[in-house]
Amino acid sequence: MLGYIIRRLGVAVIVMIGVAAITFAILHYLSPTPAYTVLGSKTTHAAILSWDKQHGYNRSELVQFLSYLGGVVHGNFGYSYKLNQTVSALFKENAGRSAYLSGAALVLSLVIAVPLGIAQAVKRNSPGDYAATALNFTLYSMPSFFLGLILIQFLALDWGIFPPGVSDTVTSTWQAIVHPQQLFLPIITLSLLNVASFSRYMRSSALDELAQDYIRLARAKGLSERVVLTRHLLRNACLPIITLVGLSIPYLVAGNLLIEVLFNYPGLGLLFYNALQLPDYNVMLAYTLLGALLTVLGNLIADVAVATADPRVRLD
Amino acid sequence: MRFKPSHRTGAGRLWRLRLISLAVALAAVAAVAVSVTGASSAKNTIGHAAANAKAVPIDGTLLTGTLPKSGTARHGGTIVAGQLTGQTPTNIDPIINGATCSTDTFQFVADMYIPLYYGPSGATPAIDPSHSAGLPPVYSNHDTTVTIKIKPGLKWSDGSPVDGQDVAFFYYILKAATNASPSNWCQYASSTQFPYNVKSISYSGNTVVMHLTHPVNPTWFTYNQLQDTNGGVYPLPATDWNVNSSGQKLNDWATNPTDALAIYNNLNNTNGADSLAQFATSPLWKVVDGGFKLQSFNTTNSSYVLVPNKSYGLSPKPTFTYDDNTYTSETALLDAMESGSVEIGQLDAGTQLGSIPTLNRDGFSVFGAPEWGWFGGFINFKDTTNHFNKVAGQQYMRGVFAELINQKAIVSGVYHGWAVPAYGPVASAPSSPFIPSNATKQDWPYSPKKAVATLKAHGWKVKPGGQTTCAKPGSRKNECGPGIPKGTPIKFVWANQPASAAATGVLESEAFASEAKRAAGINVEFQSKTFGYLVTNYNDQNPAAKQYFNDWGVNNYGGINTDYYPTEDGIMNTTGALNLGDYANPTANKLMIRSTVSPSKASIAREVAYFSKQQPVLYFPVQDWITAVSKKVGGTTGGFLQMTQQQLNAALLWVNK
Repeated sequence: MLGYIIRRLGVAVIVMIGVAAITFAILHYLSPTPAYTVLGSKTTHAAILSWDKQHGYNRSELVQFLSYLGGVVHGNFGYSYKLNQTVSALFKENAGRSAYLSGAALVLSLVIAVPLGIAQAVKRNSPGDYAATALNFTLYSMPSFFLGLILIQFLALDWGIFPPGVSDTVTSTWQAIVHPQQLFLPIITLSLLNVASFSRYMRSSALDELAQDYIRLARAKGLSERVVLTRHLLRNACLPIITLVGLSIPYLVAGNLLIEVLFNYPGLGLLFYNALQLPDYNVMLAYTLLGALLTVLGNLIADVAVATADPRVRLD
Repeated sequence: MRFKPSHRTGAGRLWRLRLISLAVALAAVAAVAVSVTGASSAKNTIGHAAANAKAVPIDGTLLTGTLPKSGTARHGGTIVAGQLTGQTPTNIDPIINGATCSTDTFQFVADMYIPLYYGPSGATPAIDPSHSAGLPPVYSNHDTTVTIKIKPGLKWSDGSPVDGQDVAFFYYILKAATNASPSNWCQYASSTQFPYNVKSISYSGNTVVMHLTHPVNPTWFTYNQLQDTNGGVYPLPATDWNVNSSGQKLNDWATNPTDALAIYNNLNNTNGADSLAQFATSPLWKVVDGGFKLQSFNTTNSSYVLVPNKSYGLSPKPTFTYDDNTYTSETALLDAMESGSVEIGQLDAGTQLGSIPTLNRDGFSVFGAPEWGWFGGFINFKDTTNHFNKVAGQQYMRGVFAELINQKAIVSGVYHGWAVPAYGPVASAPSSPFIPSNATKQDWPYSPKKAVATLKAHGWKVKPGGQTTCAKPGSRKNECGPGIPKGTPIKFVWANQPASAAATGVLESEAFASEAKRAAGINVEFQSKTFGYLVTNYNDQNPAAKQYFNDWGVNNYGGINTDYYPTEDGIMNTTGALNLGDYANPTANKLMIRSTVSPSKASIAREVAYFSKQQPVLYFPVQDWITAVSKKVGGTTGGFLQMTQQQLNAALLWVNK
């Protein structure tokens, strides 16, 4: 397995360089230099040329790209001139909050979706199953911001149970953790959407497993239904969920852009959204790279986790 | 002067799940559809999509909504205001560099440092003497010498007086900074304007004397150089800030440009005192003369808390804490206001008017008035696609475009009354103290019939609803114009911000395009780009944007926050920094120069009238800047009226008893 992981990591490096090259090329096509954005509308041609020279934008695109990659290797993702901070500092500051938001939503959705999916499979075609299926399809087809707007309208503005957005006092990951009421709406919005997806997979997988001989055997041995479901069914039925969770890892840090914008939550998604508006190319480039890295790693982790959980799967 | 995005903030927004908002939006879309289907009178083109708000004249402007009551001040308390992501302050030094230049940064700075000349005065685009550090300047020697006295009694928070040396300190540090790079000061205009039009400066006590390089129009110099919409001159604490990054005192800043630059670099050292994390802690920024001093600054989103500066020398003296919180969108800000966590916030005219009854019920006063400056689409005089540079180069053609813009209907149908028509660089409100009202008259009244007749008279084969083409090429009076070949269509690309970011900008563009197509066979192809993209890439003045010259015909990103003395100098002169479409007109250049150097008060009126006739951009109505203020907040009438000019002077507010 170690050889497999090393090979995959090698491929990941190539993928990352490819993503970096494509993103770099697109951004350079859109604007060969950020000088005008940085220097402001009243700058002069001479000032732009001087700035370009000072910051290496007068070199060929290939040299600039290799120089950027060299910086990335040393943890230097450039500088956000608009936000007056290094990109690394910005990411360091925002990543924890995004990870907490997505992580909490992921855990909550698993806690709800796994038992719900199994219950639906066990009681399939019952009124409860139909009701849960209808609700899941409704949530599944709903854009995240739309669900968020509905929750804000009812739970915040009409009934005043939760604040409509995260307050400015939540400036660190720790404060996000200790202010659960502030984070309730964004976490529940993300969770409900994940529940809709996860529970459908869980239901389908559990249905397949329930038809297997080992379940029939467990029941024939006289084991209680609780033991059959928790000791025998659960691990096998969760295999597709492991893959889904692995694929969700990019969201852990790359953030949930729309949710962060909607709920005024300062994370990486919001940072990227603002970078698009300004535009702030170094932030956009770093965010895309981070997204690519986490996607590759998420896939790898999912594969390894499935192989660990299911002895039938071999990684060669 | 600065760019202003068409919905003012540059940040995006999401639609609210509000039936009223939805109804307003649908009604606006339906109204535009009406214009597409053929109504042609001013009454019918856009229709009455919603009940329109009525504006009343007050303090030289047209106020819509209800101004908050002054109330009775109590000592202490907190006022929470909302600001929007994308424009939030990222600099604290009053010499603001190009990268961190935004209206909110200027406001942040002006809360802590008193500008030499502060503006506006209520809603009027003029200096407010009572909130300026300087007494009115005195011009002498044929307008080549300016004598300024600092108001007696003004003090820095360390107890030292604010005096003439502090103004000189600003001048020398600024000059060293702009010598190093013009981008070190975002108000830099050219090598012939401030600080370069000041030959030398002398000071004694509270008096500072500027000796200019040439005679100037005193109003222009006072307003557009010294005041510069609060981006101009600030007295700076010369005896506190005269240090380099090693903390070494440098007292020869007036005579040693190297040391002056070292001081500037220390003030703008992004790894040191000027990094966001140091704003609230660096000893440099503890010395203030404004109404407030900084208590805390959130490096994540630029929210900040200000507390009263006990040494503030002007009145009223604030006693409350001012807490400016950042919100990701206008929707999030509105939610915060409705849930009672924010007391002052702005509304978007395109999507949030439906929330006004709810806000009123919750104790908010909602009011707005047109802000100073203009909105419109820059015409690209370098776009050779379909010979558009030659087509738009004809003055009669730009007149035709103007005649197809039904401004009154747009004010009514798109803005529901929260805007005023603007037929040139100066809108009908707020009124300018420097030009007569007839300079804002309409030279090209809305008239599709007249537009078609003009086209026909100039040799165009007009196909209403189809594609109009040039039938008679040539330079004579009844021909299309020089450089326009036979068969040339009137067809061009029109770039807007996305509707999600600037709904009203899109709607008014569509109103024009549908009228132009239906009545005159002029075809507009829309593009949607972000504000940053539009001002950076669809900008003929940006040397790095050459590849885009032929990609756009009109850039309707928003408009320009002009200086209070309304010359277009720096905007419309050839190679002017904000001249996005590369409009080049020698007569206009001469008129602009005359506005800045001639002592004649008539010169600026002539310039404004000329641009109204020339239509170098497609002018659109100036929308209101709409603010909601909770009944918890009191203040001076002038303080509330200033909010219509995007200026929230916290020192003019208080917490009500």
